[in-house]
Amino acid sequence: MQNNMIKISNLEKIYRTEEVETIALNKMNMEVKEGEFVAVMGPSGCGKSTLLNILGLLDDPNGGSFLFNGEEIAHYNERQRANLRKRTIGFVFQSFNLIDELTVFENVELPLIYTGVKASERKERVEAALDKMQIMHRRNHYPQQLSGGQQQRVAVARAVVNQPKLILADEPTGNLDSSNGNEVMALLTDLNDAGTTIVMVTHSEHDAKYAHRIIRMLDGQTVTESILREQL
Amino acid sequence: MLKNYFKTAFRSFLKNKVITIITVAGLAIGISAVLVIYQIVQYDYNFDKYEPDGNRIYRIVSQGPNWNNSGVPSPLHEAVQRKIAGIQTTAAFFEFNDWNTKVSIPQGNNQSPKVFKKQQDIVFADSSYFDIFPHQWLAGNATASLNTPYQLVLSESRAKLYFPNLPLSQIIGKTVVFNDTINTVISGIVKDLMSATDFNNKEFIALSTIPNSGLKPYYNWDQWGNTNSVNQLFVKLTPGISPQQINVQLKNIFKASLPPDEFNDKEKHFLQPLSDIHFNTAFDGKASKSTLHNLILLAIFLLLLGAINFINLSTAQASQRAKEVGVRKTLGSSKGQLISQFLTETFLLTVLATILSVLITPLLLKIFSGYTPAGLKYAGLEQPHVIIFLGLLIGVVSLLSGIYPALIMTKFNPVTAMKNASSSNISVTRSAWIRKTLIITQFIVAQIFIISVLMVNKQIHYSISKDMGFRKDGIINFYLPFDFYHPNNKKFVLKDELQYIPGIQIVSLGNQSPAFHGTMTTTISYKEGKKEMTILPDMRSGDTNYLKVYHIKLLAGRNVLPADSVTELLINETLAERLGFKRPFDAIGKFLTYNGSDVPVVGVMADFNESGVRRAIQPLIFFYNIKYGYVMHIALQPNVSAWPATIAQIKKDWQSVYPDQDFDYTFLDKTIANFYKRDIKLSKLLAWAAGIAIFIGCLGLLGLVIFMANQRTKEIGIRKVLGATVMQIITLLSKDFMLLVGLAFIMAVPVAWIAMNKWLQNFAYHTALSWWIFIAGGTIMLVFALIILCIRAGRAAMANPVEALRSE
Repeated sequence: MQNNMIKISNLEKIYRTEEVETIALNKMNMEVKEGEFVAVMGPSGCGKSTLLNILGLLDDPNGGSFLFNGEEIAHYNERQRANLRKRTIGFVFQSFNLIDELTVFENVELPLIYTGVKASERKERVEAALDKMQIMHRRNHYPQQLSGGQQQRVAVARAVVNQPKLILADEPTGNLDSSNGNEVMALLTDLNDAGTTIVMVTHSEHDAKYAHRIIRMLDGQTVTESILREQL
Repeated sequence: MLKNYFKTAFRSFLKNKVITIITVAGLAIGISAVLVIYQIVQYDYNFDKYEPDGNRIYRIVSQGPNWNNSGVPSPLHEAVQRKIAGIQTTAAFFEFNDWNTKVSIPQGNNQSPKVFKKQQDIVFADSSYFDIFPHQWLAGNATASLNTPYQLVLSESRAKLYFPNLPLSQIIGKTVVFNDTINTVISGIVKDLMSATDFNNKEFIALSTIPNSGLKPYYNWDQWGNTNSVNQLFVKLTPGISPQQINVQLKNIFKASLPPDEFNDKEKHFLQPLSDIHFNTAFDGKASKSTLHNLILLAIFLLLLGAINFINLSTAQASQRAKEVGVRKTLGSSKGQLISQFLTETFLLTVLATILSVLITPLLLKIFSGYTPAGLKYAGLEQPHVIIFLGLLIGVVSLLSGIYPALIMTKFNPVTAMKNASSSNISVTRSAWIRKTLIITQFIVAQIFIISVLMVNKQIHYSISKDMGFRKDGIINFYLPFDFYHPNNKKFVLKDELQYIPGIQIVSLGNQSPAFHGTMTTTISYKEGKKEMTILPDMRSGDTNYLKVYHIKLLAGRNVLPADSVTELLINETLAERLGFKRPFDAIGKFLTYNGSDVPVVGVMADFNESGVRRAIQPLIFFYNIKYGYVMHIALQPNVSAWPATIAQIKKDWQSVYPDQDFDYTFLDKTIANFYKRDIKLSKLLAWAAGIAIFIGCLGLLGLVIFMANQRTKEIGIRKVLGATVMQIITLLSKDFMLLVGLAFIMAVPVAWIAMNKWLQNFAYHTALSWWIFIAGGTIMLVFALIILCIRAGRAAMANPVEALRSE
């Protein structure tokens, strides 16, 4: 039995504007084991993205507990969160979110710079990541010069270059055609097979089938959980 | 890390070329202005810093109830040396008091001497001069050089000028003759001073020459009652002695030296610190601290404008960078890292702008040469202080313009920032009011400058074209050689000859023209019954033609008649009124006491301005006097085309009378226009400042319009599809900006009004602060802004809407 990498209990997130109060997460509970591949599904506005942002330490909850590798981090300040994030979490976004001013190589290099890796080692690791994503030949191109599928491969390379324990993917195939989408899903599965924990938010039943487990959400809560296959 | 910052910065500059150019240009202009002004200020603040123990060096100056004088009575020099305790060194020097010093170098037996006219910077001094103002000796030495009468020390430059082919050692012992009367022998040569100094004397004649020659009375050698600014006295105090201690002793010396009825408690003599000399205009200081402070203020303003531009443009662009900020934050960048990244960008732009400024500053100094001190040379990068200053400037400007945008951008929430640019607009609009405030500030500054330029020009025009109460067109004046040692009749000979030139209407010999740059006053008193009045009127004198040359009207009585001494007076209307006469006619025949004797008033002149319009018309007396006349006043015939020929004839006559002297003349109307040189300078400076302010302001405006048009491409597309015309789109894009310009105008008007009203108070006679000046100023600003807006907004409005919609 693997350890819980993520355990959230009674997690709350409420967005307030002057007139309305929106409850995005309503005492949500969830666990993710180390090495697991979890897909989170649900209709628009059910709170999946909010959940992912909190899991990614990009946003903080209003209440509840968030244990990351057994440590309570709900109360972490921005600096602590940034520190933990850059060392352990990689992100893949629907809209790729590559920096237009940086080349493929430089985009992938960025996380290493922020974790203070030496230049020589950076080169090695970036090249290895690009190789793995089969995008090495595009290393000196800018994002605008790439197709959507190529951009997402760069984004995945960037997400994994730091060898994070956890990858958070937000609709990773949403902007891709089906063949490019399948390629990206295969990449994620490979990563998972190699031991990386993955939490993926998706609308696509097809993509969700790559996961071990599907969590379905509605109105900020987990409604059902279905296990597709056992984690090895 | 830094490399990554630089890379991102450069690529982001390249991507936004136009905005980058605008930002850098705005900053570069501001920095250049600061650099130019820094050099001026630095130059002026560096005067007389080379003297060792400068903080112990003082000049003794004199002050009365209504006057200041940088000199002292001649005998004080000796008295200070003998009677005052606490002084380490005393150095007196007497300027060679002649506007046209002639220096001749004898050339051996049969040759005529080499002559140099109008030599300046000649002083009488003794060896202690060099204790206070050290020079490097190239030949001879201080102790042996100026101790006996008629010894002369030359600066290297003068030595080479007078003896171009001799080595310095052979120049010692040569003779130099001043004004054909003072034969001196060269005893030493010093290197010219390289440091900035107000005491850059070039020729030093032994001080003991004065008491041993006919110059003695000329310098009031033994007279305690005469103070003349040519007699300068410097002291270096013993360490630990305060100036107050010396000031007390100075007072005692005057009390002991002057007869009791001449000692005046209100007349003071005191120590002026060396550091004060360059800036104290009351005592002939060459620079005014208030002017320098105004320049510094101007520099800060222009720099602020550039920085404001930067802040405006970068916050406007912030939403474009939002995604990048979000991504970087997600990847683990801390806030501090992001701030340093954006500050690095600002730093790079500032460095770029500074490099540009350094390149254009020599050009600017050339353009502004009229306003910069004459001795100022461009101190380029080889000067360490310039590099240090630039370094500091880059630091300050980077922080000033970078910190706010950096804070704004790093505040973005990574989640919203990455979603898309439009949702992050929320935080951008929050900073919109700051941007608007900044734009308004820029335009207020520009607006104030524009209104000021218009107002100053209006006043200059008024000053120059004002009817001053006398004829000023077609009149030329020239000074007659002031031959102190050999009084002669040459000037009368010249005047007689001039009368026969057909191009001349009439000639007069006298002292100054009705208005001149300076004042000449005297004392008169008037007794009526028991009442006695003492008045300090201005005075003019000349022959009987003086009034005719200048078309000065007589309101009552008659013109003066020729006489050997002052036997009759003309007074002006103001003096008549001051004396209590209701009608000018009432003054005729009354006696005024002038110079100890009672003199009758024979005529009353209409008032005229005795100097520029800054000074109100003063009471004035005029009397007949040609013996001491030293200015020729010539009224030319009205036919302007004949003037050059007439002047050539005058010159010919001059040369026949004064073969040794150059002929220099001035047109009176030009002389009068020169009274306002300062104002014209101010006007030009303001015009430049206004131009720069408008330019920077418009650059900022352009940047914002470009940005806004880009942001609203889709909106413009939709509006056009729905049937909006080009004009409607332009109006849509420009409306807000025009409102800002209008608001700036409303806020600038009161400030400009107060400032200009205060400035106009400097003038006894001034033009009105007309409302149309403000309207014109506002219109100029508006037109500039409109042009900028239309260029960019027009392009956005005319773009094909299909393109705009497809790009979304």
